Amino acid sequence: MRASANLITAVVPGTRILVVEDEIMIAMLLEEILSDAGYTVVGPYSRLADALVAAQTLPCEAALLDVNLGGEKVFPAAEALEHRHVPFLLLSGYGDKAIPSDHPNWHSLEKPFKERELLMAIAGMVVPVAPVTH
Amino acid sequence: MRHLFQNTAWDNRFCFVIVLHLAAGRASLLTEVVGRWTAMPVLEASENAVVAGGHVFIAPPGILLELVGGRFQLAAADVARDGRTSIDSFFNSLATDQGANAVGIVLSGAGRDGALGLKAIKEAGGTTIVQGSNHTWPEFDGMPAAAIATGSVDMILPVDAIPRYLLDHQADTPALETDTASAIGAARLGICAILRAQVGHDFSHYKESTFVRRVQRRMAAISLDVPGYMRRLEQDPGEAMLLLRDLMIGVTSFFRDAETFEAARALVPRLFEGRGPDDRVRAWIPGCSTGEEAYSIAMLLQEFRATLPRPPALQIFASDIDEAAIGTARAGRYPAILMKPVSAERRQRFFVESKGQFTVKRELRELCTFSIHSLIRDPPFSRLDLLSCRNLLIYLDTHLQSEVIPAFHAAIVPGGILLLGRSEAVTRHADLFTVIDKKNRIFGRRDIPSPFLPVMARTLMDPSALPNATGKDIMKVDPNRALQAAHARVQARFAPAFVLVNADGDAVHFAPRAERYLQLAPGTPTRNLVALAREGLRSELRALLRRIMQTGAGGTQENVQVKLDGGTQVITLTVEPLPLEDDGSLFLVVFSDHGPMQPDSAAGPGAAGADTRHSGLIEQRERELHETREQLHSTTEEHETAVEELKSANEELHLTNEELQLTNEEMETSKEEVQSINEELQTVNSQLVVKIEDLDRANSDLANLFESTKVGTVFLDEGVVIRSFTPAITGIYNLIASDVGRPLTDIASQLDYTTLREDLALVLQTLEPLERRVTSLDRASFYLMRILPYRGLEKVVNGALVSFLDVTGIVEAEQQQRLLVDELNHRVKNMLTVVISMVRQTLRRSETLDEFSTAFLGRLRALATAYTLLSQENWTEVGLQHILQEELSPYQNDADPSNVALQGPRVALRPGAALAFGMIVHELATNAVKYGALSVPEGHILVEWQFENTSAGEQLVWHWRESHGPAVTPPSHHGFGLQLIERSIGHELNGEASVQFLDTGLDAVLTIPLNAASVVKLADL
Repeated sequence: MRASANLITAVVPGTRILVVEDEIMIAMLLEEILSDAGYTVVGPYSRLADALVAAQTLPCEAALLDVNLGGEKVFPAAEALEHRHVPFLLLSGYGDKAIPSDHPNWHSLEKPFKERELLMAIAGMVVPVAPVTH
Repeated sequence: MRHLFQNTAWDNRFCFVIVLHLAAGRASLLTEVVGRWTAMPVLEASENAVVAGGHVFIAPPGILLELVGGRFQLAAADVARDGRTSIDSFFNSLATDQGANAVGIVLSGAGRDGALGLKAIKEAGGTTIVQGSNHTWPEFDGMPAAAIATGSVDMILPVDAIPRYLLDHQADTPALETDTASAIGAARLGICAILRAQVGHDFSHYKESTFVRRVQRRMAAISLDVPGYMRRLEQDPGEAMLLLRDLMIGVTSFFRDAETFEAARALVPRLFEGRGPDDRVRAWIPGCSTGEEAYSIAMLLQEFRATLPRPPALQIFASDIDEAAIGTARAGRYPAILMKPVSAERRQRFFVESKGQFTVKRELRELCTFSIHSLIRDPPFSRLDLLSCRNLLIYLDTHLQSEVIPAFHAAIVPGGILLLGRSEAVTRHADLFTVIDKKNRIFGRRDIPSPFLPVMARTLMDPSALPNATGKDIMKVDPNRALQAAHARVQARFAPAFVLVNADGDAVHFAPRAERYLQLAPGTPTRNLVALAREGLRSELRALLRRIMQTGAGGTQENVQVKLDGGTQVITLTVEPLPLEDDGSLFLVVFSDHGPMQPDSAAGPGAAGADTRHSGLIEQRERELHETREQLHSTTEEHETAVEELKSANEELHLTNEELQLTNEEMETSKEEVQSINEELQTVNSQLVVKIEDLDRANSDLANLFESTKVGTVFLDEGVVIRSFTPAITGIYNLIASDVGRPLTDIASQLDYTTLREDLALVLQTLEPLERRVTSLDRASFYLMRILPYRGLEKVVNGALVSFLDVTGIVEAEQQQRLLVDELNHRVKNMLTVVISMVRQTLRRSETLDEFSTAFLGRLRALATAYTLLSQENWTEVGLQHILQEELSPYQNDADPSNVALQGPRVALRPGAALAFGMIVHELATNAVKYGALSVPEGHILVEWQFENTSAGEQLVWHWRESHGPAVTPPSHHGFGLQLIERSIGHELNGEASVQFLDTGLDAVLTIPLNAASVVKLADL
């Protein structure tokens, strides 16, 4: 499970990724993938209240947000990030359907995601013009 | 008719055939209607169908049904030609086919169809029943009355009594038939004797077979055997009358007593003698009943008339008091079975045959005028050449007979003929009629003046019905009246007085002035001439009459001194027999005056003065006498003129009366037609009522259906105007009853639907149904709307039908389903992500594949177990105890499960918490197996939990405590299990976990705040 090694070179060390995910197993997976790739994980947060505070206050370059947090939607946190111009990716089993209709420009990644897809998406967020090729 | 079937269990011995008057082409519901009343199969009679017991057959409308050899034959009925005779026609064939087994029942109905049919059935020995009144039925009594009038009816019963009667009597008829016929034959004379005693008529000469049959029928009708019936006859004059009626009326037939007709035929030419085309031959048949006798006589006369080169007109009057019988006679239509006595030649000549019915031809029919007339009450017809009154007098008592027979005499012209019945005679009136044929009861009218009509006696009863002159004057027909008047005058003024006496010495006629020689004898009035004779005349007259009657030659007795009023007159008495054609001679007694009367006072000589006084007195008296004579003469002439006028007025009245009778007959015919139409309308009406009932039921079924379906429906006409709507529509369109007649497009609706107008136009144009989903304005309700072209009668589209099916439930279910599918997807994908994570974490911490697979599969199973429990509970919640049990029971000793002990209050875990606990317990147990208490047999694990109140709220404190196992030490680095325990409690359940490695074993404490979304305290059971 270290297939993403070639991407690590593209990661600027210390790039902080905010993780909001209520399910501990998935949170641990994200932590592992991100730290293996060289990112610094902020969080993970499992409750909206905590996530919202983090989104408003904690410094980070990008964020991964699970849409459904124990029955609550993560959207306020997403809006807070948007407000701060922090790029984020919504994670959900619903895929694109999870994107609220009033925010068509938001992006999402469907669970279960491939590690490579996740990392490429994050790379795309933190390096807006990514010249990454195979 | 219902009462014939309802409540009666008919067995297979009975087969019913119902014949109604229905015009062709009119669908009859009768089959269906009767089917509701009876358990028997009800069928429409079809061609060649076999008559089967236990069935009811209905004659199809407009069809003449016949029974031939036990099978039905159908023929189209032509009402215009045959009249309404479908019942007569069927009865006739029934009688022919079934004989004594036939039962004819005539129920309510107008007209007289069925009457002659019943007669036919009775002729054939069958049973005849007519619906009688029970104060409710019959509605129309025309048919029953006509049937009763034929005298062929066995029983008159209320319709609800008919079934009982049939069941009781039909069963034993055959037995009765054979048994009693001979018994009755043996008792015949006995019965006759009783009858004679009871009703005064002798039937001993009556045809035996007929007699036996009639008696048998009466016996069967009242269920008595021969001795019983005879006792009944003796005790019950009513029964004797019934039997008499049965014996007499029922036998009216064509050419009854053929012999009599033969004898009469020989006399017919006499009636036509000397008649030219301007004359008439007239006949009268009083008591004609259903007309057979009248038509028979008409045939007889017409046959002879047709042979004459210059025939006189023929006029036959037939009368009866029974209106129904007269109606039947007028129709002149007879079932074949009644036509037997009519020769084939006569049938051919005088009748038209059609389907077993013989209709009198116009030629014959127009000769006969039928009218309602009472022999007793009404004045007789007049100037008759032939009068046939057979078997009527027997119903009259002697008093009435002695009134009727002189009336007959008055009605018949001299030389006319009187026909009477076999048991009738004119013996009391031998002075009026001579016997022509004694055996056949044919009598000739004596040419003598009729007695004063006994009709006078009846003036007391009904003066208005009487003629205004005496019968004697009316009846005379003499073209040479002047000569007759002269004769009368001569006789009155110049001829000697005379008296006609019969053989008994009774005066039958007094000439004018005969009273001079007679005087009323005191005591009982008498006609005996001898008794009436004045003093001096009596003994001479008696002697002379006796002598003359003995010798038969005439004789004279001169110088008979008769004491008159005021003097003595010498007369010559002459008696001469008057030879007449029969033996009943009359005698003429003539009184001829001989010289003037000797006054009593002139016996002695008187003085001359007295003489002169006397002659003056005589002259004066003679003058006075002369004047008086003149006066008398002119008065007499005036009187005669008046009489002549009265005579002609009377004749005119008679003619008018006859015309009125003809008109009346026409009216009767029209009335019958109207009644027939009325009856038909009644039948149609009752069918209509049944249909309306059906319609009402169907309507209410539909209304209930609409109510139950909750499908809102609006019916619109071509202009989309509301015709009607169902109650369920009111939730969609605010319709109230008064909206009917408004266009639907004008009504406000609760729908988010704006193209109704266009949709309706489209449907009406294309005639294609249209379906559309519409939503209510509040989006809470969904409807499937259908617009269909409304096809009325004959499938012509004349509107539209708009229906709204509420599909809100379905739409909601669809949405729910979609949500569920999405949710399932989400869960599955989440789970897969969890599994991926699990694989990755496990893989990272595993040295070998074995180690990986054991650890991974264990975790996967723990996850699966938690899922299974959750799905069993429909993903709501699961008990903590339950999860622990599932995870830990594999580690309990079989012998003593107390090595793993669980205790604590009831706690419910929501799905997230349940999964977390499942994983945590799995990790703790696996660890215990590997390193802790479960790695040795004597190790124990105690899991206990309770609630604790803290400042932050109520918490669940959960304690995992191992003992009796090896001492444990904290591992060098936190393995996945420990990490999972510590992080998931914090991350997912917002709680805390503390794990201690003690010498006694591992000790873990989880503290979790209660939260409705994760951990819930349950009340103890």
